[in-house]
Amino acid sequence: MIIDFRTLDDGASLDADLCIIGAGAAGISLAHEFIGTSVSVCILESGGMELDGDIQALYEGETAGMPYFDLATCRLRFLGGSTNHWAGWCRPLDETDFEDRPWVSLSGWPIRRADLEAYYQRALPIFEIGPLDFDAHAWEGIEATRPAFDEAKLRSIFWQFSPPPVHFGEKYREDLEAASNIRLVLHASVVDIEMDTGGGEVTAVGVRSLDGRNGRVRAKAFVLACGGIENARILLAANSVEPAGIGNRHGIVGRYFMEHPNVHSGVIVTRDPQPLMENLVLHFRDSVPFQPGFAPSVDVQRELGILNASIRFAYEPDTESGTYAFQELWHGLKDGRPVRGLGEKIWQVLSDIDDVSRNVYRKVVEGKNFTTRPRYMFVACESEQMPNPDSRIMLIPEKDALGMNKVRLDWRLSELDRRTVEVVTRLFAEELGRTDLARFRLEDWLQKDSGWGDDLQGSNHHMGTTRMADDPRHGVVDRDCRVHGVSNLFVAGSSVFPTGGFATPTFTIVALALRLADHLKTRYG
Amino acid sequence: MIDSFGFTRRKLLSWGAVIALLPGAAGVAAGAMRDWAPDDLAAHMRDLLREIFGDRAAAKALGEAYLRRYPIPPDPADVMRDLFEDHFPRDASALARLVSERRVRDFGEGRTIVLDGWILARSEAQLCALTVLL
Ligand SMILES: Cc1cc2nc3c(=O)[nH]c(=O)nc-3n(C[C@H](O)[C@H](O)[C@H](O)COP(=O)(O)OP(=O)(O)OC[C@H]3O[C@@H](n4cnc5c(N)ncnc54)[C@H](O)[C@@H]3O)c2cc1C
Repeated sequence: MIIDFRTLDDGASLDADLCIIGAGAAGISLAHEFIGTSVSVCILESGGMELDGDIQALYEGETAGMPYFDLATCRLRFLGGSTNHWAGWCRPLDETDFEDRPWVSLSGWPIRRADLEAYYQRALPIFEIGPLDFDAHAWEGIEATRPAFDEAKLRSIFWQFSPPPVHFGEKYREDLEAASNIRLVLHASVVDIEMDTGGGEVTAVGVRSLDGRNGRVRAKAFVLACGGIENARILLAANSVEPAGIGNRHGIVGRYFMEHPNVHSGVIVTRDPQPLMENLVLHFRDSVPFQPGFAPSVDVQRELGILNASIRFAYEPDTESGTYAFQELWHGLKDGRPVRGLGEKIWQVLSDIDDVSRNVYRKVVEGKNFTTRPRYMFVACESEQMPNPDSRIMLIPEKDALGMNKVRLDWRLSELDRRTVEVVTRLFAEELGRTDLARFRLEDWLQKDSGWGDDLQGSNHHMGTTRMADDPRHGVVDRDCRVHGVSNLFVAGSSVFPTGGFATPTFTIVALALRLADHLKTRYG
Repeated sequence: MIDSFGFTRRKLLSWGAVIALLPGAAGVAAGAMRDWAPDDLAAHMRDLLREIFGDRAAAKALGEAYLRRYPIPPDPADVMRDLFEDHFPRDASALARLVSERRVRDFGEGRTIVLDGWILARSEAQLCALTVLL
């Protein structure tokens, strides 16, 4: 059932076995697991079915430290959450990402990759991807040749793309609506968490809508699933019983904010771009797109004392090439739409006919894809960030339209984060040179001893702010994603990641949500 | 975007011919270095370098960048000895093969050099330096 909170009486009170706060990737996949069970579920979602400027403005905040995206645009606040504009890259974390690595301070999850394996399997159909094949073995399933890189140094990795990116709200709305044990309440922003006097149990959450209506939801258990920034914000703001916020006795909530630093690290030159253009780009396997990349082997990470990181070949097509114009003409004709600058395009094809013929031959005779001549080729590096207590989210005095304190995000990077990018880039350059595929030129910023490139950015992945650890002094939630010291409050989402690897987070977010569902079923089912 | 040589990215691409050096060649002859008189050696090497570098200006630019690391320019005979050990190439294809072997070894063992941002095998940089020294 779907309810609009604004249609309820002011002061309304709802009861459920399980209250899930936030209906994004985590909240929806968790709730979906309870369909048809005896557990009554109430999902509280701040937004409606579509983007609304006033609700989106509730995400406004400040940024400090490394340049970061506008907090009001790097996530979305309506049904489906940020999956309404995500890009669909999927990859599980590596086995080593879970392990305690002595050279990475505060590394090590309380759980292992093996604990998530079955949940990664179960997550595949949710994203419409598969099989669970994300490493060197995946070369065998695609029509491409693995470059002869030394796997002991630089191992092959793959991302799979949810094709097109699954929008969780659109895809699962009907299932949730039809389920008799689920109530999805829209326009219901959680503004407070009420605790018993000892602070050991959540009794209810306070809900508010932008039209000034208030209400509360009581449940046996509560799950915060509002994204990596908002989970911390809500815990910090719930300070009526615990002055520093819930789960924050050790001052960790909001700290250890991690991203995946994303930056160009150099350009590639070669006499023959074809092997790179053919093999290191997107390939399809049973209509699922696979993108190859490379990462330092575990031995290299250990020996050189670096973090995990990915490096990926990319190029900008030469828009003046004949093949580029030919493809535009072809798509225009096929889709029956006019092509801009038709005469110019035809001339472009004719004056570069060798390039076009080569591609047509490859397509018709060899069944290969067109490869547009590159204007330039480069390398994109997306890496792990070291857990850093000074990289954090905190509340600021300014309040949003619902009266909640806004946040400041202070994103900080360390010397190890930079060195990781540098080392991995050099390894890639060395393997390109050794195999004589190409030579490599470092971006200017990597030719200096410190600092980052102007194009450095995050990846819209907000991790670590309610990190998982067995010891409450080092983490906010335990291995079951339960807030330390609170018997019935759980957290879902990448805020629980103690380290973030380089893998895009949503696949792991969903695997963890499925695991949490199993745990809650045994406790409350 | 302009790089530190003042070249555009488009120009960088054309550098591939220089930087990726040479295709490998088989059936080559290499003679012991001590068989050559120093003058012959330098003259012969100059000829070989002319043959193998399509874009001599680019090779020179890299060679100059390499030599800037030395307070006093090294003796070309030392550079050649270091590069070829005891096997001086008799012709361009022998040179190509030797350089290719050294390149694989250098890159594989991390014996690289960064010249104006280019990550090159040390042997490649030495070869470029010879275009300046000889
Ligand atoms: C441009 C972009 C591209 C991305 N591409 C990728 C990618 O390719 N691969 C990848 O893995 N990840 C990607 N991501 C990240 C991905 O979108 C997130 O990891 C994922 O959506 C997080 O899921 P979540 O459920 O934890 O949070 P969200 O999806 O953000 O959902 C949180 C939900 O909580 C609701 N909410 C917030 N506050 C409250 C409140 N107080 N009360 C009630 N409800 C509330 C929100 O409205 C929202 O619906 C991308 C993100 C962006 C912005």
